Amino acid sequence: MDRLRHAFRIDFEGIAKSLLVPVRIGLPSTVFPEAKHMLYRSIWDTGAECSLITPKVVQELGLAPVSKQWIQGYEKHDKPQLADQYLVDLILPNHVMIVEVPVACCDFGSSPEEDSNVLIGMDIIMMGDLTISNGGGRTKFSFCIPPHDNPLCLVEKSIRVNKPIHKRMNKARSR
Amino acid sequence: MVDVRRMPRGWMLEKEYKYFEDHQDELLKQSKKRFIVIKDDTLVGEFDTQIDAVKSMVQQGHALGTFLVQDTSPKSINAIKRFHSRVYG
Repeated sequence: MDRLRHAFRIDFEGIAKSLLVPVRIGLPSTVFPEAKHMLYRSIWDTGAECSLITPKVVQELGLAPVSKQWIQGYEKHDKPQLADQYLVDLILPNHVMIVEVPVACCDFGSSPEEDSNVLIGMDIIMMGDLTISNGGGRTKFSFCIPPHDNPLCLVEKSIRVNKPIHKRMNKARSR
Repeated sequence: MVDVRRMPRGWMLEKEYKYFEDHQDELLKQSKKRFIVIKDDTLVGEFDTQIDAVKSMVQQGHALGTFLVQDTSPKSINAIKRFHSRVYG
């Protein structure tokens, strides 16, 4: 069956050191229909197994934990720590709402320049397709949910692009 | 409603989580569904999903932060979520 894909793209000014994306966070609307969603800057991190929020988000939204979660590797001590776990709705820039996402709370070391209070991990990224390109000295980031059946393959694209170049090179060599 | 802004971080659900740790074996034997709910030192419910547990407890008038929803699936108990890239050594 055909399914609609919902995508967004962020064009950065230059080469981005972090993938910063505005998202909205709030209490799960299935439980709290009147819940407000506040705007935060998120970092997208393929090295993170799950998503995180900082204590600032917890305070500003007045969240309360529903469970506990062991997390490891986010700070210098590098020992597993028991963090509070919250349930939130997450709204992407294309207005797609991902409901009832379990997120752990910790300070994940966002720099003042990043000023990020949400970390989007593989629990969200695995729901769709993600591309990062750096052509022309500008980072372009896009995300599509649900994933495409025919995902972009950079190997195939490179073979297509290289084919005429190889042809020209071989021709030049044979002269 | 619990005002989390007035509470020190990590304060909530400590008692409930300790109860789960101390009684893990018997709670796992006892429960037939994946998610159990503990309030103070009592098992108060079992649910198929985390959100069903939260919904049911809130509808019964329990504030978030006053009950623990614990995943009892073997893969999830004591599972550690790892962060490989944002490590500051």
